[in-house]
Amino acid sequence: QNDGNPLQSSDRPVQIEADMLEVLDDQSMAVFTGNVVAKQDGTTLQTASLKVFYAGGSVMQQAAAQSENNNGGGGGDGQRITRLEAEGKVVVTTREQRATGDRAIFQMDTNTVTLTGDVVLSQGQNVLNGTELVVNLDTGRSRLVSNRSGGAGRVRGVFQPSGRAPAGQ
Amino acid sequence: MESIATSSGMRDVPHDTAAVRHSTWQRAQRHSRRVRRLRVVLPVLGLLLALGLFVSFQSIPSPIGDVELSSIGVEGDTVTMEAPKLTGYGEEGLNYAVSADRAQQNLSSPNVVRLQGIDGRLDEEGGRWTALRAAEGTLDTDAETLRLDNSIELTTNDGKRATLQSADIDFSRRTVSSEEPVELEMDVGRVAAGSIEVSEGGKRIVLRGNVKVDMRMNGSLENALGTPE
Repeated sequence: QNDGNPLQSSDRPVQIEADMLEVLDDQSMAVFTGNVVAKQDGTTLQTASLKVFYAGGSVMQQAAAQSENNNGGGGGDGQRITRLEAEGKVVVTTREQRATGDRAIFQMDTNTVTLTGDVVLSQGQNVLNGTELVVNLDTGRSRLVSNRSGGAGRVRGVFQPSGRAPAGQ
Repeated sequence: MESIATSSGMRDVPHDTAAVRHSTWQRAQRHSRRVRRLRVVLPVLGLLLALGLFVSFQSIPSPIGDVELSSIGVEGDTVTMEAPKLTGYGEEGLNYAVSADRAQQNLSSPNVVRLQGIDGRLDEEGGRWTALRAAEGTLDTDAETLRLDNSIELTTNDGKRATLQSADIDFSRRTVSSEEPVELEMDVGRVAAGSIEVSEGGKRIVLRGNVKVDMRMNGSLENALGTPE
């Protein structure tokens, strides 16, 4: 159980707080808006809005299917969350890393998080800039890419040998 | 308290209090054209909408089910129905049973029915049902609204639950709202919030005021409650 990974999609519940939540049942979607903070173990996600997509049909189809195969009493696998979409001042912090961007998509089936927009990844004194950060939640490995049209498409980074304050900060 | 309703001054309240004559309700049906338009779609809080089908002398939903009353008492201009129970069929042939310990109506404003000890259950397609309990309520058959007070609980047989302090139900607009704290257990997870608004017959639920959710990333409510996979 590698608990260093951000938002691992195990069965551990995620606590989410927000100013508002809108559940749109026939779209099998729930939208959190306003100071959204999602926490799971050591990982925290902050964003302006967070969309949660769940599979297994809408609440009603799911329930109808469930109760056909057993007479009441719940059971069946309920609804699975398939994807989270965070939008607006996205900040993902784990024990050692902090990444910010404009949008983040958590894909449960591939167990990956993709952060896009103006991505800044910092770990201790080291700061990396790019346009897309893909984190594999199973392995914890992340890949930072920069495909800025004008720029040289290169990831810019500032590495500080430990102990010295970063120069251009 | 066993008492026979006297017909003087009462608009032909039938003497036979054990079962109310079908014809009496027939006449009342015409008053309730709009109620019949009520389409019942059952989300977690759907049963609250169904309560609009609860019986009163004036506006009876149709088609009518069986109406049982243990006794009717008249004191001054207040009519008290003991243990009224209405069972029957809603619009899409879904059956429902709504009962109360007591229902009181004042003849000066017959459209308002005070209810105590409300118990309701509505069966839906696919063998799902929703049950409701509420301590008190006020049904207004003209405004087609129902206000429920202090401790309302709604459960469904597929593990969903809603606990509210109060709820305002508008049957013509098919909305349920409450300005007081709410707790929900849904497939999305366990939800707590300061207020709730259910509209479009339950398809849209908006929760406001430090919303807190314990969400399962996968698996269903049962896992959260610890029943083995």
